[in-house]
Amino acid sequence: MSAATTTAYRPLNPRRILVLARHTFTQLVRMKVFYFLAVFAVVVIGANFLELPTDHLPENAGTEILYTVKNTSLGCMSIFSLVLAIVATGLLLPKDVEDRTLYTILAKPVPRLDYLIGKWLGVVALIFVSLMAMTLLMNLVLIPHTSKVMQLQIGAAEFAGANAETKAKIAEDVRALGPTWNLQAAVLVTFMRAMVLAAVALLLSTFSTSTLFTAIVGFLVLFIGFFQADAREIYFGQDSGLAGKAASGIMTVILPDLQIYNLIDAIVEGKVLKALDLLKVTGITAFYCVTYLFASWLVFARKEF
Amino acid sequence: MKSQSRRIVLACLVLVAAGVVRMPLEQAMTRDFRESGMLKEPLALDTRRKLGQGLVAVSLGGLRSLVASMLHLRAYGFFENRRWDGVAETYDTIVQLAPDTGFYWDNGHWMMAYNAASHYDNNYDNFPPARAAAEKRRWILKGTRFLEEGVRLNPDNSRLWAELGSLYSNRLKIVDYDKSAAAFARASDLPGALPYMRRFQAYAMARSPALIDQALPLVRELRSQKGGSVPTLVCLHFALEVRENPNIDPIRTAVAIFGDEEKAFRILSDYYLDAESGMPVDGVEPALEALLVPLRDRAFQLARDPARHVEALDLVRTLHQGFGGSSAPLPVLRLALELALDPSLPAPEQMILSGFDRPGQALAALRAYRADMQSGFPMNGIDEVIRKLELSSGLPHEQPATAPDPAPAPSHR
Repeated sequence: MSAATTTAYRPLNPRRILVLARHTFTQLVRMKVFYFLAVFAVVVIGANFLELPTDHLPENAGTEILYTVKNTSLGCMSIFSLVLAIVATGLLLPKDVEDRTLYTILAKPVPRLDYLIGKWLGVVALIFVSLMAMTLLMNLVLIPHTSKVMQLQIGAAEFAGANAETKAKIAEDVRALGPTWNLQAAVLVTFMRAMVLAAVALLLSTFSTSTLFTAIVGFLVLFIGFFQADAREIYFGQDSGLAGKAASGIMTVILPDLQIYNLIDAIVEGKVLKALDLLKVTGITAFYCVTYLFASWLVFARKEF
Repeated sequence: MKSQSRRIVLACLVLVAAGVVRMPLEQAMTRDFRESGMLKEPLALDTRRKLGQGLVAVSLGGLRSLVASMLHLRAYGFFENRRWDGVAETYDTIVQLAPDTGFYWDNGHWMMAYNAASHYDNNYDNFPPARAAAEKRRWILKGTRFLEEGVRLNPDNSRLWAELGSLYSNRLKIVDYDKSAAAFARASDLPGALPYMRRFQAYAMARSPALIDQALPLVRELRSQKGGSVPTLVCLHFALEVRENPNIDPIRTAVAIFGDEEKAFRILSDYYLDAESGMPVDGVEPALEALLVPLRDRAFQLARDPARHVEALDLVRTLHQGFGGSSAPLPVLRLALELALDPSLPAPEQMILSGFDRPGQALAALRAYRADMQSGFPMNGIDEVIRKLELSSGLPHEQPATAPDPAPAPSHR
């Protein structure tokens, strides 16, 4: 085997992975996935009108609409990204088999690891682009609302004779409810959760025979993932029986803990996500992705079609 | 095939090994995030039951705040239908989902302690009065407990503390000025507190028998700050100064605090006449009585000079609306001045009637005013008003005096 051929077969070739990812992205775009953005736009614009009569002291005016827009936007983003991560990833391998594309690709000097990573990156890129579009729309809706609320509350504070320090604090509080970097971090956390779930779905699709199976098991993993912290409590708990410890232990070591990504709730409430916390979440996400992609490759590497 | 099975087993082993490595890390991360409030504790079983399967599933996915928003809409539906138990239960669930959002605590307590309580206060359900009163009290208490829990969980939320302070000092609720003062004090100490919170702390202290002695230093401090000329605060300052030094001259003190006699009279009158406020009124009545005399004299003097009727009317209005304002001849003098400045004043008889319990009293005041020919006050339109009142009330007509009575009514000077 020549040196050139050896290089061609060497796995983790970025160019090759990029080509596969781009192809996957295009394949998914052609499935009209972006139509969801229209639904998202309708939901976010609709959320603008969900301002109910509330205990409106002038100094509290308008905060409700900021919560509503953020909640509905992030909710839509979460649902969209999770569903897409499971369904789109689960769809790819069976579709490639069905279209015979897989045979064409694997007949070429394409390592199976590159193929898997390319597919996964294609899905992840699609989720990323969609989330970016949704974030942009959310911010566009939030910016005028935030400045309106700021104007109302600062006006009320001025009327009440507030000093500069108080007004600065009020402005800071209102800004925290608007389109902050912190809020963009919530979107990033949503994206990271979708990345993990896409990696799990990819693993499932390496040994499943149908998209339906991958989707069902994928959603089960998602559901169980939200209980992982509780399962760990049982595992580490003093009062748990052996059977309970064994069941929770198996569940905990195999499946990802998706509760870690529930930081979104605190961010919506105005809490600040520290850089270190974001780094921790990024680290654990990378760990999950590498683990599930590696396990996928182990199953897929010698699989016969 | 055998090789493939081996690889699947290997994949499982990789997953288990990775899981064993990450489990303690995840456990530590979860603990840290929960301690810092970035992750919520798992939902209580009771809350899960109330939410139902669908919403539990959504709330599990880091979308608790979304579920809280949806439930907020549901609570509003209950509110529109006046289903107060539904409102309370929904807000209990909402705050389980989003305990750090002050907005929900604020709104929930408002629904219970104000809206539900007001519903029973107006007795829209036609309950027996005792039951309606008991229901009102129950909802006030429920709203108060709800808000207390809110401030317990959000001790740094200045606005929630201020709401609690307002609730405790609201005369239509269950008043506790000590707790109100403490809540406003806490609200004022937090960043973002608005100046009124410290002022309201002073008002609550002044109304609490246990705290009134400590109120004066705070009021003096507030008076020297921005917003220190708010009428209630100025009046409270006056009352507390007199309370501290009962022998001081009320007029001199009032002028020193308010700036001039008329302003002192006007603001102190409003303060004094708001009898239900529960504010201390030490020295206010004597001050008003003392201020009234020179002001009345000045008003009468101005009223005699047609060139100064505008000034006279301003002062008479102040006196008429204030302390002792219904005493003769102020109501009629005001009417006469109004008519002198605007002869086309609509329904003057209604204006004078509004100041008396019975038409007969109004008529007697008008006749006495007209009879005092030496007063020098304007008489524009008074005869016409008397005639209209006599006609509308059916009271006997009395000829206006053409010359001074042998025994004229004492001059108001």
